[in-house]
Amino acid sequence: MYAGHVGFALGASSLRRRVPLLLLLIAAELPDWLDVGVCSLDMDRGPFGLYTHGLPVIGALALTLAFVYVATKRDYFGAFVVALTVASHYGLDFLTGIKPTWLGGPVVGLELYNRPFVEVTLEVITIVVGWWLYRRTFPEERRSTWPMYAILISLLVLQAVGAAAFYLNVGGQMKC
Amino acid sequence: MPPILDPLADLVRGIPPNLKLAIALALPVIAVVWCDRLLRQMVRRDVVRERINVAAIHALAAQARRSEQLSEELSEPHSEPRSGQRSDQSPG
Repeated sequence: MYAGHVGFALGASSLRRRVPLLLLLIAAELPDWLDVGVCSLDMDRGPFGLYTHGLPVIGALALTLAFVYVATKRDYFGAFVVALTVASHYGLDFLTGIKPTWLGGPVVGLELYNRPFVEVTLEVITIVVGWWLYRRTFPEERRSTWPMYAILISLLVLQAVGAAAFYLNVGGQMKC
Repeated sequence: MPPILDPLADLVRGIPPNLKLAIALALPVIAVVWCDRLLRQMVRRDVVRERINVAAIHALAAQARRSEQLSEELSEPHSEPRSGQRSDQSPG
């Protein structure tokens, strides 16, 4: 999943407006950012990306980020939202691809990447629902302003470009 | 892949995978954070404008009350002496 992660973060921000949106966006993409780090350091991602997308790693990332948040803000529900957003990465990737569980464990996933129409529809639904929940947190008179629609349109455009690049195999590998 | 996309594909292929992934991850984050900041600024401005409006309404109401009070005082007859006040001040 690509822009759907950002859509989830937008939706999660509606649960707790006090949590900075940037933190939730990073939380939603954290395992992929870990991939960037691992790749930059020329390290091994493990079988099927176990060291960045395995359940123990996702759990550890969720707990660490939630702990850091609660230590700085003393907001327990906000920390739960942060942890949930990190964990959502696994759930959403489970739908679209195949993901490792634990060392020696099975590889699971619905692999919707094999059904591009279903996969893109799922991404669009996640983006639109997340954006709609985020939009509801703003006063009525600001819900139909151009930056509000710019968020939705930019995410949909990026998703379309990402999907086109992925399915048409433009630009080669994204991960090491 | 359509041949028209070949130059673009070559360009993208030249970018290291980690950089490509970083750009792909950063783009939606930048777009959302920028728009969110604009929206929050708009809401803050609305709140300030609302406060200024409320303060202006209060000030106008207070001014209206004062002028009403003043006009009432002015419309009262001046000739009537107040109770306990001597009316004839003429000496002896």
